[in-house]
Amino acid sequence: MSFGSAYFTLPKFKYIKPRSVDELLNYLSEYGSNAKIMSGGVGVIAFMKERLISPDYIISLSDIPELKKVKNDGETFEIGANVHLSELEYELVRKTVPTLFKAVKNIADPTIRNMGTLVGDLAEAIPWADAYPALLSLDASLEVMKKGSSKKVPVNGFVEGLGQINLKEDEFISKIIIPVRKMRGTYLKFANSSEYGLATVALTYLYEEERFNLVLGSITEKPIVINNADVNWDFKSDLSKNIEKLNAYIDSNVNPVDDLLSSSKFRKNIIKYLTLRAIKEVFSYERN
Amino acid sequence: MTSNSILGEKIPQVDSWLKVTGTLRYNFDISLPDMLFAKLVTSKYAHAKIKSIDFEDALKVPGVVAVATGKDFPYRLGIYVSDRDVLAIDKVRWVGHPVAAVIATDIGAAEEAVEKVVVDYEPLEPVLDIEKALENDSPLVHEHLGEYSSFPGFKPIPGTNIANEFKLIKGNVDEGLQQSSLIIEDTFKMPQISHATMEVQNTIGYWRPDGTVEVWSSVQSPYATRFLLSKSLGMPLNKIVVHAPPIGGGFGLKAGLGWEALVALLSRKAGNKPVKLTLSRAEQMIAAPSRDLFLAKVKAGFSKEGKFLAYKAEFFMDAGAYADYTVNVSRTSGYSAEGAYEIENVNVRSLAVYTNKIPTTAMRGFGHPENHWPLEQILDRAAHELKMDPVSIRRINLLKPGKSFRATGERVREDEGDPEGVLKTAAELIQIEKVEESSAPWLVRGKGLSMLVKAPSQPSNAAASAIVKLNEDGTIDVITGTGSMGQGTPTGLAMIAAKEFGVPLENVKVVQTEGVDTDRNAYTWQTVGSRGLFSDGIALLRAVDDAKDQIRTMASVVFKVPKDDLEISDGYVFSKSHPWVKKELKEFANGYTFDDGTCIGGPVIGRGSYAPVLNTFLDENGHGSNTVFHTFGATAVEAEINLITGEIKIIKAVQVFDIGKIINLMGLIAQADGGFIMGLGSALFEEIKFDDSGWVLNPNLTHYYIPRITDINFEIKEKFLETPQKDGPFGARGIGEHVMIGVAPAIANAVYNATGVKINELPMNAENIWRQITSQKPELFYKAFQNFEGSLKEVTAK
Repeated sequence: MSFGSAYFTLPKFKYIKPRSVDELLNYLSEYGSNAKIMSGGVGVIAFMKERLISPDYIISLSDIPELKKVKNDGETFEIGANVHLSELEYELVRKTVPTLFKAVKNIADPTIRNMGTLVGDLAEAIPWADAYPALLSLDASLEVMKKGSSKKVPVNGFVEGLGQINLKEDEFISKIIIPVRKMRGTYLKFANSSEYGLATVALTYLYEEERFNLVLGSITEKPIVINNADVNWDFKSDLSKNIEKLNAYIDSNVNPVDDLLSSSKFRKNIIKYLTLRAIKEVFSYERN
Repeated sequence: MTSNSILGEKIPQVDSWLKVTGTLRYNFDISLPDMLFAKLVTSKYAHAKIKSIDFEDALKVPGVVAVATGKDFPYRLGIYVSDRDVLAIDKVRWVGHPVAAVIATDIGAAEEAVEKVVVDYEPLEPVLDIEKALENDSPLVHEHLGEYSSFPGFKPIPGTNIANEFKLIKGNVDEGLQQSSLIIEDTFKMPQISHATMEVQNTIGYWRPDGTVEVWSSVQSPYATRFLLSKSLGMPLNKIVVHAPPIGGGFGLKAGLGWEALVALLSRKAGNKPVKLTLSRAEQMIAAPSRDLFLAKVKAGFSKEGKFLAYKAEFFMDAGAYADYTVNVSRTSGYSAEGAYEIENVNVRSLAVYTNKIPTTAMRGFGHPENHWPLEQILDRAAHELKMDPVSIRRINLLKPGKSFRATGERVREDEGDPEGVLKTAAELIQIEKVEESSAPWLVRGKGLSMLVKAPSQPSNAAASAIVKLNEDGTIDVITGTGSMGQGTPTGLAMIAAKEFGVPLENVKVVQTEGVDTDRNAYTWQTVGSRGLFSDGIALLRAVDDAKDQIRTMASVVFKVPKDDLEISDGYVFSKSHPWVKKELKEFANGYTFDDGTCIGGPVIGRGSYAPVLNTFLDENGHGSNTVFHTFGATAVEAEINLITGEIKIIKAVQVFDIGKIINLMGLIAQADGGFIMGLGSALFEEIKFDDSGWVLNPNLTHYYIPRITDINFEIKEKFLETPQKDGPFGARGIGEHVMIGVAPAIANAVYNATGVKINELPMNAENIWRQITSQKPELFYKAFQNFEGSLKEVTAK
């Protein structure tokens, strides 16, 4: 997982700038196997500099206005593929999908967030990235389009492993769709001598439905989703009893990896700490 | 700004406007007509024989002009030990060792061609561990060590991996230890770290058709670079010009010789066209030097009263594949091992050791962050054992100016500074006695302090010179040789000249603000060791005196008064006895012209030079007198430690130095703060990580983490004492490196004082601290976790 490039140049490629989604889908069906989609280029350009990828075509999203939209109709909260992360850093997002808001704040730094997109962060499929755990906790879906069709798929299962995503060559993610519900949520990240987190926790609590999704990220190749049913969480009983059950569940089911960022043992310690901090934060809110 | 009050004011750096508007020209910005681009082929093995290099296909890439390999350039490079090759000859010594270089008309072609160079290696057993490197049967990194030339005082030991051995002996350390009632013995370690300069190394070489060489390079010390180029290539000095534009951070990386010999030779190979080599960040962290890994095995003896009776230390510096500069870092860490203290018996053995890792070189602090790391922690541990406080144990052992002698035998000057005042001030500012409440029961607060002292580590004849020119309109040009790398020396020199002539600061130009070149600037040995303002400053004052003397000689004729009755200030020369007899300086700039058209004198051009006085080499016991000034300082911190995660959060930092005389307060504060932050990076985060085959695992600033602005969310309090040193410029001493020396030990002491956990290894990142807490004091961790869980009981799910 070493990153560092000796190259100043990018591999040669053709740059395509479609004006509509239809045009984009045509290009994808024609060049899909040798094309990469780019918005701000935060991931694509870095990967190309590393020579991890060398697509013949780069298809830019920047001239397609409808991919730039953030929509909230009370039922769903939708984020277009070309919405930059910094465009999600405002109050409405914090109120509607707090877990996502906090995750976004934890991605890179403000200048990178001006260029990077949420879809890009998700599609990079780096185990230490922040979008996927947050979206998993929010039961998000993706709108996946290809020439002549469009489908809605759950985000769960989208990332298959390091750099591996569940998307065909002629498909692209046009937007992320999050169901709007009454919720509280948080996102916590722990980093140690690195930009990336060695452990992250996304917690979304749907208090009216009495259920929550706890997602442990950066500790294994794919995030671990734990919901209230998994740990027999009893919303009527004491928090400390529930936490005991949760801790026991983590102890026996969560096995973090060893890598450059952290040992497995330290990760386990941190993930428990972050989980408790998240619970403390989310469950100590007054309902309003 | 009136001229007389300028010293001690807060003056923005003279190049601020150019920097913030992006108009200052760095070497990175320089492009020459017909310039070619070079790219390195680097080794994939830590240690291997080169069987063959096939670059036929590389030459076929359109745009490629030539490919060079080690055999093309049979030269040896180095400042203290000439152990470096230009490109690897016969074998490679680290992963990243440049094996070949491609020259092409554009960088893209060079990059493409590099991939087509096929090197056939025969892997050898690598030496990756410093202790194994010292074993008798260890493979050798350099088989021909005995054939390398070295600077007086450095002796590589042939048949071993020892690049240099230095000994410092005072008294009888074994007797001292026997007499001690407390002995602290431990092993301390620091990893290899990167200078992480914002500007990576980049160099243009131009071997001109007439056989002269011109280089433009991101270097600190152009005169040293010229000298070393001359020595390495066997070429007269006056056939070489080194241009050193302002650089984006040096910190020692850019002292001495970098890539200049390579690019000059590549230029010759490419048919006398200029060739530019620019490293990527990853190449900078793999192919270029870093700071040494340091291992210290120490034994310290104290009396019941806390008197430091004996210090026996073995320092091992992992120099990597080339110890070029590190032999002197190692020697320096040895001769200054006693820090700010007078220790009765001292025995230090300091070794620089070759391994098959990235080479190492000078870095800000030059052996002092290393030797202060064990020393300043030992004092806190001894204080704890003896039930003393960290301040008293230091106070009774401090060197006493005018009375003490260092272990080298060197006299501690009467005007060397006020170490006791420094200690007291730092202790007061951090309120070392006061126990602070933490904000939660799983967090603890602690305070820690470190004294520090450092002198420039330089040859006994490290000289400097300055030229001052008076222009026709009364403005002044100052020319010295110190490079401009953000350290602020040009601004300090401008302030000195402005004060001396009594002219506004904007009337003084320090020419090297926008770059030094060896054809046009005055000589200075190097821009290193916190020596710039001191050495060049003295030379400048002498040049000012010379210029003033020339003005007075002319004015004496013009005014018809004796020369010694004339004084210069506020931009005028005037008679002291008849002050109304005066003229503006500008009237004398190119000689004085009388009303009838006749003239006397000529352009005013003052010269001044400086060389250290009474400095000697050190003998075989490390004895001699080898410094020009020492700056004492203390760094103190208040830190909060999370006992569950191991995170250290700095609450407050204190930086105190006896600077002698404040020249530019703004620059000084910036040094104190910037140095603390750089020190914080190496204390908490930074470590070049290697895998089992010697590959660097984090050659990028994502996983090699240096502090971000978001990490600096605490107050830094700076305080400067001014005990003038008689021969310093206005009494001033240097400061550039001192600011980061005490940071790591102060933080480790804060952790120790808060928790009793001893921290022997850097970096003190969360996992490392957590590992130490859970292994040394597991009860602290469990209690903290319980408390944390307990805090959840306050929360009720609604």
